[in-house]
Amino acid sequence: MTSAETLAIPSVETVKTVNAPRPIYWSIRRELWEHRSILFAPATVAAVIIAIGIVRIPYFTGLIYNGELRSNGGSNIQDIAIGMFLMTAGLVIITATLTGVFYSLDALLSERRDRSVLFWKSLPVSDRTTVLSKAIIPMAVLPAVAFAVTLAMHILLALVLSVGLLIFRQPLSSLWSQLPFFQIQVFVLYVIVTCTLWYAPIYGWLLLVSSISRRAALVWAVVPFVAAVGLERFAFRSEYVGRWLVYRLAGGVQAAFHYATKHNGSIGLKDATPLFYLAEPGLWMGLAAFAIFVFLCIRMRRFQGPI
Amino acid sequence: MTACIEAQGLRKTYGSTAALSGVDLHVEEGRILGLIGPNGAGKSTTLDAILGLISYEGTLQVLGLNPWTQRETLMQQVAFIADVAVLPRWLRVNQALDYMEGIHPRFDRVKAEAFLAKTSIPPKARVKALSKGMTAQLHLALVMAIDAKLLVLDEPTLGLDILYRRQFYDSLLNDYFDHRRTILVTTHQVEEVQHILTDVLFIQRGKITFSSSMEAFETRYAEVMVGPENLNAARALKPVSERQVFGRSVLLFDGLEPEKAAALGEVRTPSLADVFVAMMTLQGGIQ
Repeated sequence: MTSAETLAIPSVETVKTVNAPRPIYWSIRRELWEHRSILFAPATVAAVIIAIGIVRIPYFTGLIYNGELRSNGGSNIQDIAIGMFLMTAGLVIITATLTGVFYSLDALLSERRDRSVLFWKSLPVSDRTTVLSKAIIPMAVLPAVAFAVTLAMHILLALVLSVGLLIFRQPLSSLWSQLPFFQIQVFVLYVIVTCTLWYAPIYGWLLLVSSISRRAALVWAVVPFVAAVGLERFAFRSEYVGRWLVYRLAGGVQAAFHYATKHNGSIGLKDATPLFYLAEPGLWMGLAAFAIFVFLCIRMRRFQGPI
Repeated sequence: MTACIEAQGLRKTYGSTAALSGVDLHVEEGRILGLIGPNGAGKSTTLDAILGLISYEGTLQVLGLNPWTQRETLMQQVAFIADVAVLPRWLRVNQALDYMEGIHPRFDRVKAEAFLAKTSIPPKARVKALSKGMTAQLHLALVMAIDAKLLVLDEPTLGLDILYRRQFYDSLLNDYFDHRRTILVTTHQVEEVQHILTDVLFIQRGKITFSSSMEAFETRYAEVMVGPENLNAARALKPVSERQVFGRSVLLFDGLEPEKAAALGEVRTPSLADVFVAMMTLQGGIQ
């Protein structure tokens, strides 16, 4: 045995299989394991919608076919089809948004409540990584889930309607020639992105409340605003706070679209005003507030232990 | 030898109560140290400070790092088991392995799986479906697969039955400890850890009141059952404590020569628990 070989033997023991850690990726996976509603809630709503679509197939195909008869291929049937697709998309997006709200309220509270924070903090994952992975859920994961589920649901709905039209011996063109499928998906994506960015400070606020409160996070998140509105009305007989709240809740849609009430037909990409949206100071102030809330969450997680 | 834990004047106050009032610690590599104290003496606070879970005053270095500002770097080298309830109930066994493998650079999945194979834990079970003993086994499997320099155990066997408790410490000694690692353990079940410790510390009212290696401990203390005829002579030798057992007096001596002790009556080596109780009673430490 040469001296090189004898030296090589103990070195086998010291060479460890070093995993390349991917803490952000696995922290997000962890959130999905714990909060299965992130995937299940939007998917369930979509499944119910498709089931209704299948059961009520004669009604929906009749709607499209009759629409075509009445308008002779005009904009009426287009409105019905687009309306149907947008409404179903809206239900999925609202579900995803509510899931995000309840997720955020629980995100930094449940690990302290069940004492598992002691386990998570015993691992080499920083507070910053943990909080960011939790902020990514409502800001990126849920919007992506909402879009993917909506897209899959729309493909299935279009298939169901096509089969329905075939069964009732109606021309497929009455649906497909009138349905701007691709534009609808771009429109849905636009809605999801604009709403998510606009609501960022709300998610940030809910995360912060969940990192501070010991119980009843929903109450702590809502009561200050309700109290402020009530107090202002009582003391000053003004409603600045209320108006500011309405702006925070609805201002994003107002900035992202210019929908003229007098023109008929459904809302669509033609009404999108992305430059107005980007020029809206409320968007950027909201994103700044979100960054501050997330920073405070990171600080809070460092100091907070099990409750 | 390098110091694994080095603390000077460690202080922590919650409001107006002092949880730690100046703890000095020097733990060398390769020791198994028992930190023993009554409830509320500051055991968990000391561990929390070492693990970077709480801020503190004074200086503290663990493996040369500051736990409060460098927690995630430190935790690559440190493993921790608190009482059994800290694994989240929704976590599945295979998810725990995936996660550890994904985030921990020093986690060896094969090792953890080999350990789990010796238990009856189903690989896809959720923690909430496991018994307390199984949860402790799972946590131990996860921790033993980490190539850590320091293992901190805070009441690790609380609420487990005697079989699991015995097995827990046996696994730790046989499969994990290798004289390069350091283990720091707190527990109320003093009798069960006595034989595995190399060093012992008593903590009382936020201060270390006693510190010894186990070898020194065993030669230092003697418990003598003294008959009435020798009682006055024995008391003159200043015993640490005296108690009555079946009408006879049992006196605990610190540093008494073996010949003198043998002359007084029947001599035995006291257990850690005996000395602990004697010292705590003596100093009015039971709070």
